[in-house]
Amino acid sequence: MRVGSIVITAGVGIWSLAIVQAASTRLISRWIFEYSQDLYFVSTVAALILFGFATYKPNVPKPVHQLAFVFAGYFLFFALMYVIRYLSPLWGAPLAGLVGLFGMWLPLGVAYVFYDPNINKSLDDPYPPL
Amino acid sequence: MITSADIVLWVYATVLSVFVAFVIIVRGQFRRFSVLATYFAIVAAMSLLRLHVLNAYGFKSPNMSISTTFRISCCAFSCTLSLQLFTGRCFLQRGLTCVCA
Repeated sequence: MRVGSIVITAGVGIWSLAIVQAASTRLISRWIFEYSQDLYFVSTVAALILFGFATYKPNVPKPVHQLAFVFAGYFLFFALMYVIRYLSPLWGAPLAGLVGLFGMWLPLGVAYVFYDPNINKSLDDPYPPL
Repeated sequence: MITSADIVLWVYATVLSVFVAFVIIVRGQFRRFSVLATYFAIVAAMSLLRLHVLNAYGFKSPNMSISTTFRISCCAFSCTLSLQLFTGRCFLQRGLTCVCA
């Protein structure tokens, strides 16, 4: 899993570099921006896969399921906003405020999960810390 | 143009990120979720850095308008999203280890 993640990250970097190679100026800046965007969509897919596993598999600890939901919702929302803005630039201004508000979904959701006083009891799950 | 509401939202999000990292540490989960806590700490630091640049150079100044904004945004974007992927990877690994056990 660890090697696979590194390979995916490096592959996305090479893919992004191949995309921005046509730009003659500010190659590094363009590559960083493109790489970030591509990583974002890969993260979205990973979060959705995790949420699918957490939803359909039994014996998943409650905090894991909650965090999977928070991650999937956060990434999916911003991916949808990106697609909507890309397809229809007229929606850019109205959606900007919504994006700012929804940016707090992740910290609020994670805070909710970890603020649970029983989190230490519910985390006696089979997966060990890395 | 940045409005007062944007500034309030910005400060609130920064404080919230610090709070999340604090809660993870206080609950004794830092060892398990160290990457997640580090991610929120870096998000807060990047947010403060952007706020400092905004105050120091102004939103319309040449320093802020083109190169600084673009580079800082790119670096912040890259760092946060890379960490997001790394967090997702660790979280995915834990989740899969859990559900496959």
